[in-house]
Amino acid sequence: MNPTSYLVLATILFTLGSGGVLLRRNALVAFMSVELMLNAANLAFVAFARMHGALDGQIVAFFVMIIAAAEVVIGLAIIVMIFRTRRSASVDDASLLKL
Amino acid sequence: MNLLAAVATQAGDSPAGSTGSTTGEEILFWILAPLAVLGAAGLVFARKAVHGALFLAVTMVSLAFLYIALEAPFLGVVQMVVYTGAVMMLFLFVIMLVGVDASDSRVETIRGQRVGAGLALLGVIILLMTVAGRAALPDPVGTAQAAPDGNVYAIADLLFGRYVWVFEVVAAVLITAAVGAMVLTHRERTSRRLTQREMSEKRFRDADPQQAAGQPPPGVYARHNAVDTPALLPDGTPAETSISPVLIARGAARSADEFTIDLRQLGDEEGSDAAPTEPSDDSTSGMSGEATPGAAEGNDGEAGTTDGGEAR
Amino acid sequence: MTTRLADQLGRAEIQAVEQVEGFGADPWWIIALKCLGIFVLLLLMTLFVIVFERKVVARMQHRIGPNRVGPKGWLQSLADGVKLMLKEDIVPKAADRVVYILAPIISAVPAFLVFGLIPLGPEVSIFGETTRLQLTDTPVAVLLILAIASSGVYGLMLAGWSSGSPYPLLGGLRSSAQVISYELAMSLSFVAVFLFAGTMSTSGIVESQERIWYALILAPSFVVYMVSMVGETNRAPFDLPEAEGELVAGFGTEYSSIKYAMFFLAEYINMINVSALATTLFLGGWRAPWPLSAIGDGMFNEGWWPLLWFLAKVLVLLFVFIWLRGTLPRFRYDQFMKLGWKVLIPFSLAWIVLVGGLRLAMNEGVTRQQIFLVVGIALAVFMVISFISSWIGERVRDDEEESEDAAEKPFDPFAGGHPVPPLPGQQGSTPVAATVGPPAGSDHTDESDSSEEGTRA
Repeated sequence: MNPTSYLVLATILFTLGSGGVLLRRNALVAFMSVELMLNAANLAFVAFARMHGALDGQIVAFFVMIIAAAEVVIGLAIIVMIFRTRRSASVDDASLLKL
Repeated sequence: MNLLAAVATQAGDSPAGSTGSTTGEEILFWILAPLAVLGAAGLVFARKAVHGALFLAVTMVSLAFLYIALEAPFLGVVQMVVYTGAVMMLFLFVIMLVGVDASDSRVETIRGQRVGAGLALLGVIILLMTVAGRAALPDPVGTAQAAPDGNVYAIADLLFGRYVWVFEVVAAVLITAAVGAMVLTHRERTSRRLTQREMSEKRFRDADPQQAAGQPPPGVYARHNAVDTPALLPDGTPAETSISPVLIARGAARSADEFTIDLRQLGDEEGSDAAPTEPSDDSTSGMSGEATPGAAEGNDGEAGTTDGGEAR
Repeated sequence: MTTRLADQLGRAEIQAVEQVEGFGADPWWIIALKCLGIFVLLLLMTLFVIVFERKVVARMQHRIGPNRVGPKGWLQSLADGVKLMLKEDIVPKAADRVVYILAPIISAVPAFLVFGLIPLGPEVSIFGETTRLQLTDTPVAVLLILAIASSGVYGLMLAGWSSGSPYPLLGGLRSSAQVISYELAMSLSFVAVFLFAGTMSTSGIVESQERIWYALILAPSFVVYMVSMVGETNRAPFDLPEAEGELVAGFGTEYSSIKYAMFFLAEYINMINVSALATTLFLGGWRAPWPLSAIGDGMFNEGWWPLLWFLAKVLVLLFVFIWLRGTLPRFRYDQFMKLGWKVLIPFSLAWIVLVGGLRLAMNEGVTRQQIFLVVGIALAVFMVISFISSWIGERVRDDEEESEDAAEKPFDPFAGGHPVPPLPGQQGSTPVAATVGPPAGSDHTDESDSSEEGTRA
């Protein structure tokens, strides 16, 4: 199967993910959208790995997964911290440093 | 089950290296791709964060199956373990911790942001689609050449061969993240944590000794055993402490007045029976005398107990 | 040892050509038959295990247990199941309807999937077709099992959330935290097996245990797995998500009828699953236990016999589950988390490093004698140290106890204004009639009491 279809799918997922980041106010949803974008990139990597007949793309996707896991851990810890002090998970409410 | 078998066998059997599209893979793609898009759209448009997380999980599972179809069985399974198993679970966990009904506000904080974002997204999708659509990509070579011993062995070879340095760095990042999360969420204790023994001693020493054996659970001796129904003391007065204060604050508990009616009926029934026993009579009067809830338990409860004892 | 490794490498090459040998060539009706067989087997096992559990626990508590329905009560769970399905199906007003209905399905379906990857026996012939007694296998089968098992937790978690009331939510939170932490320990316990078997496919792991079970050579891994499998399935003493004393019924509080039955089914099938996995990874899978395997040139390891051994091993493990439930009290939540994160995970990590080091040493040509020598010296040093430290500790404790004895307070029968019995070792004072007992005029004459204390109370 030609990689183009996978690439198109990855494009759609990536766009939806960036839409989530731009449009949603809830920090958790925005964060999940970031994960979606990473996943879309991974799909492209895996499709290209198969196209080229080399496994390096899969390795990169693997590393992306690990980094994403690390990022989720830190991000969620920050969200929990913000929630503890401000009782809100909305990205708009953490605006104390804004002019 | 059949799907799983089909995927597994397909991942095993797909004649790697052969060009052209296998129909099995195409069918799988056209089932999973719409599912993935549906999940992604659901994430963006769902009102509740939990629903969003569920939709994202659907996307991630379909991507995992797509990876397996793309001759990356190891990555597919890792995707399932890491993303659906751990990451999404963590998300759900935090959503529940942070507030279950934290739904989004619909107010635009920056004027024209939605329109701007929509335009930008349109631009992104047009750009990427053009690139993806116009690029004349060759048919896949397949990974059979690169992975003569099977995917897992080849990945291991690369991971601990060419990419071992990256692997170590990533491991360091992961550990840093774990420590960071612990530091971020750590709260310094101002006092020593009480042991179980100390807590139980405290309960006897500091609290009301009458409550030492625990407070009465709701519904005991009452006509209903629902949580909103206060327990009845032996003299028939409701024990207000038996209802959770949360229910009282919400106004979900049944009021003591309802009980007066209940008890009066009870008293009548018993009165119409053979001997009118003292406790029922007593309790009715006690209830009507104490309109304010909460006063019923203390001394009167004890007096009721003594009365009951004497009557017996 | 090295020859075995070479063997395994050779096998790995065969696998590379067609992934896992002997799969993917079955006609469709054999696959359908296997699916049906697994489904029926799981349902029957569940029905059996529920009654078995009730009977065993009853025996442990000197009761008789269910004995009314069917021969000796063995059809009890069938009757219960039918009854449960005919109950009223309630959806609470505050519930999130879609998720509420979806949750039991999410928890039940993965439970059924896992068994498809478990080898139940070697090659057999079904209606003239030679096939493996296993639905499917992949080179990453064990990881796949982990993945499937972890998606089953969504059911519990979502059930807790969607019920829209506090107890289920707490139960759901607990179950997810529990499964995440115990899954870590569980997967770490697999690593040593992978190191020794050289493969992650279940049939390959069973094959590599031809000479010796991994439960014997990898005993620490096995112990970690046994503990974490109880945690993973939410069973006593780790049944915190549905602790009835604290959370009513945890995530299942608001559920009724067939939805509740599905949770119940999922729990029992999960028990069977983890037992089957333990059998496969550590107890030699379908292979006959030692004295039997020597009989008649391994005739018990061929044909349909292995299915019997497999089921017997699974049953023994299920009995262990029930035994634990009948014996141990429930853990406190923080103790439970401490056990997972501070004991099991560090221990398995250290053990993996050790096993990896040993494998490496063997591959590098260190002989077994040398390894035994080093291990023996290390063990001796460890024992000497532990003996000395325990001896010192005892001395210190003795001192403490002596000082405690000296400072022991006289027995205060109304300590804190509440009548208390004497502690072990304390002398109760002579019984005096209560002057001012809480229920005045009652017959509590045996209350030991000095009048002073009584007035204070």
